Amino acid sequence: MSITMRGVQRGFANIIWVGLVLIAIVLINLIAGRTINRLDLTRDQRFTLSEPSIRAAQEIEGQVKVEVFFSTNLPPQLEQSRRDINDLLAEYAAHSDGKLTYQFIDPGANEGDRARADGYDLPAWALQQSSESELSVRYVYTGAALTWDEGGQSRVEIIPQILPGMNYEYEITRAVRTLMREEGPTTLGFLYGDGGMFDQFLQMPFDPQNPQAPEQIKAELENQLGQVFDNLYQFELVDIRAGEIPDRIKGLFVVGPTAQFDEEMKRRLDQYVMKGHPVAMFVSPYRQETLQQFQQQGFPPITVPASNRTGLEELLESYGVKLNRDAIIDFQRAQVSAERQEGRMGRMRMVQWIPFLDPRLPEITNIDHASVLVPNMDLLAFPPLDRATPLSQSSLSLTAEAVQAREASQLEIIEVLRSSDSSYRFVEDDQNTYESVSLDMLERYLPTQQNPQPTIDLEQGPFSIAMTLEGEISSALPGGGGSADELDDEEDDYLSGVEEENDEEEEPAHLDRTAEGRLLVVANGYWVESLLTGQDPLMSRGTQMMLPGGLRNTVQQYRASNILFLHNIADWLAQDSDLVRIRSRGQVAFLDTAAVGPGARKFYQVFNIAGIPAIFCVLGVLGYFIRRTRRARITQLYSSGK
Amino acid sequence: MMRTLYITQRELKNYFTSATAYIVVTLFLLIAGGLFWLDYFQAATTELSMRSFFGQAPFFMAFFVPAVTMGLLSEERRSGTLEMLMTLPVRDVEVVLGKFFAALGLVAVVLLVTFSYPITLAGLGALEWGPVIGGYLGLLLLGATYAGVGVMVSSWTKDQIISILLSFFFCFLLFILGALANVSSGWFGDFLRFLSTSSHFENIARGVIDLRDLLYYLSVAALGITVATVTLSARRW
Repeated sequence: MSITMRGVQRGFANIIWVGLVLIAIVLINLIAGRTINRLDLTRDQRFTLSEPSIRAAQEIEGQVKVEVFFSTNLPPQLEQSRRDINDLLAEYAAHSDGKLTYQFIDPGANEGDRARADGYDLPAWALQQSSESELSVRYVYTGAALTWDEGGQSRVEIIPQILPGMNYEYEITRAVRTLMREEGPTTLGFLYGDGGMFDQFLQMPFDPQNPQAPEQIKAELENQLGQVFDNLYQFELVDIRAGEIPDRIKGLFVVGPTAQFDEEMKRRLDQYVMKGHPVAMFVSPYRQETLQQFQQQGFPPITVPASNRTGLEELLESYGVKLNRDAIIDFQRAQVSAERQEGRMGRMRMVQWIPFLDPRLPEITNIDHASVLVPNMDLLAFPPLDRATPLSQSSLSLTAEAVQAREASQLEIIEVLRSSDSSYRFVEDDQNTYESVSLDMLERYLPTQQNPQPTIDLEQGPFSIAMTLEGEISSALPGGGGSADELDDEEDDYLSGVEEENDEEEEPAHLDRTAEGRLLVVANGYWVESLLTGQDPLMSRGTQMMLPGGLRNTVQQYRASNILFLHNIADWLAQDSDLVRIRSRGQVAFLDTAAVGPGARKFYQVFNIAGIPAIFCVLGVLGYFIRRTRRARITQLYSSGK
Repeated sequence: MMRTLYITQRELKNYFTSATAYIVVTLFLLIAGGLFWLDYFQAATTELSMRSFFGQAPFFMAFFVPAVTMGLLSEERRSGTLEMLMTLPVRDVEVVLGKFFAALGLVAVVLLVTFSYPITLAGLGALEWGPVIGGYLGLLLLGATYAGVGVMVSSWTKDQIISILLSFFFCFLLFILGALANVSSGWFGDFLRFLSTSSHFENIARGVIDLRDLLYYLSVAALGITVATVTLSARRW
């Protein structure tokens, strides 16, 4: 084979051609790498800046510099986080009209950058990395510092750790908004003096060797609450016994009260509501009671369920919400139910109760997305009050007056959370009191495959677990007075000098109603306590060890949703629905597999795994026979000589 | 263009009249579908998404697409029909593009068949379609990239076994470059990450169609097609 001159020329031209294509490809990719052009197909546009974030970027006054301290050579998920943060910051910068600038810094590259990251209190965290032969730990930075400067003033906000799965937009917008706020964060309150969790903490020093004064403990608790809520709000513990709830408290949490509210305490809370301040109440008709006699004898504390009547029930009822003395039971949540032969005893029914995934923990699958508290959330479940009692989750209902007010458009009522359709309600009455209800008793009612309905006559759900009331709310207590709006008018008159100077030593005016009442009632307080104390039974080592692998993820999903719900409540109390909207983006929809019957599950699996390939093959075989028949016909046609 | 279309039609017809396509497609559907659906209802609650399918499918595509492309040009060379094809009034690039689109067409058919998965999920709850569409588009682009590589390798040899092994090697290499990038440092690590098909797919499968990812996939496919065209042209030297 000889190589001709023409062949050499053509070969050379081809090599040049491939080289040019390669250069063009590299150039196009390089140029494209510097611009962000993308289409976000997600339901809530979660990878694109939302309207509140764009507004925050546009409203920047002064200059915000974002330094992202991000180590290099990180695992793919973290590299994806770097890219996401970079894309978001680029959008921010574009909308801020040059008022927000950003840069990425690798703190591993030089000592000065590392010192700067440390100066911002950005933590270096241990990342385990495995190479071919060894497992090593490396300290990396994945945080950001936002510095605001204007007219010699400066403030700094940090995002300590940027990790995969975080809502980056929320973190950046939160930080930018905090930087822009001159008056400091909004103050929210947690009530104490009501027999709830804070009373216990304030009576109990953190370190028995080094007891602190109650004021110190209180300050420490308030600081810790701030950290739980990302320091977005300032928190104050408010003693309901001490006096009026101050107006600087913009919203109030009432978590798991167990003490009896006297008339004065009720009045203070009622008047706080009447002033139009939002209140979130987490209440239960049952509580845990520690048996003192055992503890005195040196045994570990034993808790039993007890009735919980605080007087808040009457207050709530007058506002329109009735706290029912019942227990919601979700029989579909008994994870394992089986029968086996037990010698001469005959067939024994064996039921396995998996902690926290049992009938006492009804799944909350009926969620009203119209509420700003739960946009995009599909599944919640609160942990039970106590291991021994089925009385954990109670229900709420509306009074006839509240229904009328809703129909008259005076009150907007949203049943935010409702239990699943497969839940039942065990109502306390003369025969069945809370003391008589036990897990053993529930076990007898457990549906079987032969009899899928419970064997007792129980009312079937869904039942309301959380409700919001917004609008015209009347005072629960008698007293002649005006409304919050009239009080505002009086204040305005005073400011304009119209008010005459005859109102010295005035009693605090009793407000009969408010047109801007905001009330959230959740018929379970224990879940908030467990999240705030960090003693979440869902995450305890015992629970995690007892749960099968797949269910561990489920429990973690519940916890993540519960935390999100709690944070949204804080934003709702502070009347900052923008943050709720940003935070709630990217919530993944979950499927309650228990709701899909075993037959349906099998069908979906068989159809998709075997059915689809089978149909594909059958079509192929059919095609083959059609071709063979056609071929045979043609052969026959030509061989017959026609 | 018409000639390219004609070659594509002829190749697609060849696929569906031979047993090879049915075996390869059925195996892909059984394995990818089995891994997705057998696990799906295990937990008490499960994410209503195709995330786990899109997590595994790129790996199977690295095997599946080379099996589809292995005979595209190498079989023509082995059987001597390539010489006949060269004598026809058709340009080399049209031949290569025709074969490339045929392979991509088969990939599209397979992906279309797996569309019963999201339809099933949508019947169970409020499935978010954005990431599903992104994931399928990502798989199609991944298929285009691997088909480009497959056509390129197929143009180098007349042995189908060598063709599938080499294609698989390149496709798998592109797939695991992302993992290799994690043990490399500096610009080299970033470069490897950019070359990796998996890092681009992760982004697109979230439901974000980014021009950078689109250009990457199209670039690799274009490079494969160019090299295959040049290889065919070299036969005329």
